Amino acid sequence: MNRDHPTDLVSFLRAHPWALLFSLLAVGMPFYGDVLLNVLTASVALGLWIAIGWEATTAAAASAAQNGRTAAIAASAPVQEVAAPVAIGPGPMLSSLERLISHELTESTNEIGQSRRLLADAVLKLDGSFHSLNNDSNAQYALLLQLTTDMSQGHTEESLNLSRFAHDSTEILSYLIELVLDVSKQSLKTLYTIDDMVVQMDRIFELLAQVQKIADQTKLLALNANIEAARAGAAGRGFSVVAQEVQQLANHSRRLNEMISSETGKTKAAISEVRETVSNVASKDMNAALEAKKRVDLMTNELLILEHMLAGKVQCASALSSDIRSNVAIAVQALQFEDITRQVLAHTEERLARINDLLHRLSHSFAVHETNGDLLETWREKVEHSRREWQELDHRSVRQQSMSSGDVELF
Amino acid sequence: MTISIQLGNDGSSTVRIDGRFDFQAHKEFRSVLDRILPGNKVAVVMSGTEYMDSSALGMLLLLREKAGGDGAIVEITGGNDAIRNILRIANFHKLFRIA
Repeated sequence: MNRDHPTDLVSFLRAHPWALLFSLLAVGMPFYGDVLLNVLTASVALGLWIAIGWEATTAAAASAAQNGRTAAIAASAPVQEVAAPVAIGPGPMLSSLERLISHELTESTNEIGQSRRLLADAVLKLDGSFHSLNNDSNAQYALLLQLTTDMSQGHTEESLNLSRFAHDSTEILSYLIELVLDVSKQSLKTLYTIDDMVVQMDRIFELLAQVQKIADQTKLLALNANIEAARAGAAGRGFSVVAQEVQQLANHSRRLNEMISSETGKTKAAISEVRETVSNVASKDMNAALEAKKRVDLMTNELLILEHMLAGKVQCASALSSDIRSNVAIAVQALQFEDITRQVLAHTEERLARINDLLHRLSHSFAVHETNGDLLETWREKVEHSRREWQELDHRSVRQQSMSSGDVELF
Repeated sequence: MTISIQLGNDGSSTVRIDGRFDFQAHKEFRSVLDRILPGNKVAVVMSGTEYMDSSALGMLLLLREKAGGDGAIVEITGGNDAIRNILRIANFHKLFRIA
């Protein structure tokens, strides 16, 4: 303020009180740029405004008194009616203001502390949560990998292996089909042989019938010979004996023939039974085996496709796990903002404490001492000193340039 | 079901199988089999075959054996999708010429 022309400035400021406030705010903004620090700006502005207001009042009174003296010396002019206001110092006003701002500052400090605690708590939880997420993702990937490895390679030679299972089952079924077809072929071949045997048997029966015919004819011949021998009388007695022997031979032959027929008949029955059995085997529809092979072939293909697909999916899962890992790393790194925010909030708390202290001293000083121009000058110097001191503190405080400047080791 | 055989002048034969080709055909097939001359080419025409089972496959194997076994030339032509499928499953393309 221009102390050579206090009245002019005072009247200007009285006319435009916000000019001072705005100018102070504008001057303060680059230094503070913080809502909380606007409180300081506002308080200093108000303080100064009050101080200026008071100075103006006293200056006006002094001017009026001087005018009065001049008038008395002249002794001719009537006493001018000059308003001589009661000179009340800014002390009460300042201490009232101090109480108000001090309360706000205390509340702000408390709120900052609360924010710091909430922030620290949340960040701690987030950090834990991200680490758990990362661990779970890794475990999930390992499980998936284990699963597919087990399915495609197996733990040991004997364990389940998709491709080997597919190969083996195809081989076994091919062998089975070969066997089925061989059985079919061999049983048909046997059937044809049996049919041939049946034909041969029938031939034997035909031959046996012819033998039977010969025996019958022999018997008839012997009978005729016997009749002729009887007619010859004593001369034919010898021939009669021969005829009887021939008849007995014919009877033997017939019985033998009957026995052969009977045995051959049993053989024929047995062959017929065998034919039935072989026929049953040969006629057995073994298409079910063929159908089974068809289905297994399809399943084998499906299995191989599945195995291939699984391998692909595991690769995708692997890529996802790696993405999750890097994302979690980024998130954990980003969580370091908490450190920086905590420092910034600590600085803000210090600033508030300084403001509070200054305000307290200001208020106390104006309450205790008689207010005059010297006191104002002293306080202007004190405020200037504080400003420089606080700027120095600002420069000294370590400023984190960027959050990403420090790499984070996650694992 | 009808099974017929035509003998060519060169000793080769053409066997035609129509209708259902299963165990019921075994007697008729036997008579055809008996007329095949070993060591000569046999053509099996299945364009009129409606169905075949494992017995029919056995009969075709016997035919191949009669025609000369591994040295025989037996050609199978025609056949619907089901029949071709059965021939494929039975690995007949390794034993026969399937056209």
